[in-house]
Amino acid sequence: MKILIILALIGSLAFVGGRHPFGKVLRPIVFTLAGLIIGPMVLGLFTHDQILLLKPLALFTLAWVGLVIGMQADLQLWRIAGARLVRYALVLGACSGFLAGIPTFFILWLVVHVSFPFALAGAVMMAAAAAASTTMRAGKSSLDNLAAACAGLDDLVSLLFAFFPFAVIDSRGNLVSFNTTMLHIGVMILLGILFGIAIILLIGNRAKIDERLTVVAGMVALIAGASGYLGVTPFVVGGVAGVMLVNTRAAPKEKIYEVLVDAERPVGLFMLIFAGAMVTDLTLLGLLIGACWAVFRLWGNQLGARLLKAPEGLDEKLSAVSPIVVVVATSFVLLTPTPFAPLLLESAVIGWFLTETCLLWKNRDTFARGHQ
Amino acid sequence: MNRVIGGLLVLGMMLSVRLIGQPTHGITLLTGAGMLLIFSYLAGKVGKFVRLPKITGYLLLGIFVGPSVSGLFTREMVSELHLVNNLAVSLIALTAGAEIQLSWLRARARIILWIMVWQNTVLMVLVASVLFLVRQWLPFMSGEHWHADLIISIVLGAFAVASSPSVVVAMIAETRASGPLSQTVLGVTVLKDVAVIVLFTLAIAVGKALLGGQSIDSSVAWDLFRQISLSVVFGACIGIALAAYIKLIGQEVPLVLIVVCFCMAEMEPLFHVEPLLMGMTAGFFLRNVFPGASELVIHGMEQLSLPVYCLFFGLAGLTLETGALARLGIWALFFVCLRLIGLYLGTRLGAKMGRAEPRVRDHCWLGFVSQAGVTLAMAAIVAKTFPSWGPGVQTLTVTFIAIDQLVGPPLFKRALTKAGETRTAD
Repeated sequence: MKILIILALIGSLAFVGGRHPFGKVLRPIVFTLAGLIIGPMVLGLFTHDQILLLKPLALFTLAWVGLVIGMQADLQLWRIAGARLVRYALVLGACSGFLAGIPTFFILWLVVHVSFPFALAGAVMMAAAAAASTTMRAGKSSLDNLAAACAGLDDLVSLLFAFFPFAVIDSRGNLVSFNTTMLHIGVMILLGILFGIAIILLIGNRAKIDERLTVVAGMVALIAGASGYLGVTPFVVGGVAGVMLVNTRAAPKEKIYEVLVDAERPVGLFMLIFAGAMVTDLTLLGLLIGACWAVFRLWGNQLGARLLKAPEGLDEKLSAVSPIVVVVATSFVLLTPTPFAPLLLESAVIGWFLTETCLLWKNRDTFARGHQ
Repeated sequence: MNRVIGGLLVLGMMLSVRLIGQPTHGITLLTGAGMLLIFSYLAGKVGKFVRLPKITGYLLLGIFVGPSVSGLFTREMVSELHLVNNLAVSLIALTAGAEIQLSWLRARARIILWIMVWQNTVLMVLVASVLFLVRQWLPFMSGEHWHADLIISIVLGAFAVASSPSVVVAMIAETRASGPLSQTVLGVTVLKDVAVIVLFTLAIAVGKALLGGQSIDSSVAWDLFRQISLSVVFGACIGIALAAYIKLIGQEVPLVLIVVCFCMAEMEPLFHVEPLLMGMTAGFFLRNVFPGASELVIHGMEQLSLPVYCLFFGLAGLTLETGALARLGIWALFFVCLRLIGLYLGTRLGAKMGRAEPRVRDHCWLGFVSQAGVTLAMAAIVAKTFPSWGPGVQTLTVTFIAIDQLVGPPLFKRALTKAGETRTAD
């Protein structure tokens, strides 16, 4: 029952943190910091084992976030929005992820002496964490609109990258054979498709909001539970279910999406606090990987923009890191308990904090004006 | 049809996954909660289709998939799901408190008090005396000494008084009922929750004194006073804190509600407070002392109510032991009938004394039939305190609660419909 007090305290502390004036801009970071402070690393109010008691809730959140991201792959909407938007979002996300993964791979392989496949899996995980971006300021120009749309879509790249590490490493932290990797991928896709179909069948077009919430919450819990049973990540399974759901004509997708987004904030806030509390140490190595990750990610963004001859300033608007970063990294720690997984979570959090701090510093005048 | 196929698909998938995969920490909680939500939701739809309350659907589903019938839910899963149950109890209590408005409570105070006093008195006296008189035929009586049989009768009399605030709140929410009957039933049920604790504690104290040859300990009264007053004080503080939060911050209300309910659930073992009473007081304060702040909370609770009821009543069904029905069913039925007579007489008498409206006087008693968690908890205490005959009483209690739980919601729905207070399409 101690778990309940932990939850209550984490929630209260994070809420106090979230009320800071800069909270609106740095709100996700404030929540993650709150988790970090009360976790075993700073105040040590709770041990790592106590934090791990919340794993079921974290798995639920992963499935929820996955479903939301998957539902952004609405092909019908993409056709309306045009190929240009999709190309920008996907290529910029892929370039950022790819470049951010490179330093992680070399540091893991050459400095930490992790075996080649493990280093590759870790690097792809960091690529998944880097691919998703967000916009720091919501303006009204066409470029701002384009950036906001891209920021929503590039989460999908993150989901695609996330397939690999969870397919090659099993739930005990061991590398698996090629056949098992394929089996894992197949299981994630099949589970996602079946859960997507089940949600479509269970939610009728006339379902009220509380009915939708009940079915969605139940199905997300089942996605998390089934993934846990089979040792795959609920983030990806939820994502596939979301893609399935949003691209089926019969599905009341707007109604489902409304429920998911309504509850995304509380669910996401929990994930941020949980991720912060899961960080057990801050090391020089973590700082090195985090800093390289942040720098290479920005270069990747610029490279993608140049390759596509994107409108000037788009890469800059998409330079902020999405909180998806902690979702992916925490998922890796929880579901593939490799010895280097905590280091990658630490690096991802550092890299995220560094990026946001630099961006905030660079745009400090704008933010100050906005705050006044 | 789509929902049936969807439900079957989910069932097939989860059975296959359980067959192939391996559970790790917390996974059974997730799958259990997920399955309970989906299947209870579907059972509620079936219940509505056959014109039964959704709650009855959830309960029947729980019994059917539970460990004592189909075994789809194992005892370990049920035990893990109690984490969710504690949260649901607090949320339902908060809703019950927030439903009570001072304006109608003042207007109906006389009726509520009269009904409560007469109902409790008639029930207690009737059940205890009849059981004591026919004790030689009852298998759950101790058969040792008349003292022990008297205590069993008094304890069962106290159990007969209890009603389920959860069912009342859920039924009012489901039928969107509003009017004198629903207000009276809600008011009496909430007050009875306190009365039951007092009666039960006194019955246990008298029992210990009679059987153990010791005098009634004055600490019992003090403990009782402490438990009730602490519950009320904590409840009031939580209500004020919630109102202050909403006035000052007012964001993420559903999340805050869940956190608050988790806190309330955790306070029970720490401070030995009554979670239902605490939750109801918090809701009452929020609604009546800070009416402006309560709107957001009530809206948040409305959104969460269906999943909470699906989980809570589905789980209540899971925990109902049907194994003893064959053995003690006839005696449980006898007890239920006796209680129904007591409820009818006591409520009618109270309503007459309180000069209630005719529709309240005629149908109100049907709202008090359901019984639930509080009675089960009290039965567990009896089994622990009196090991020679307590377990027998506990088995009987579990059995008659199963019957009351199943017949209570349809009867209350019938009463609300007859009184013309329901607002749902059906």
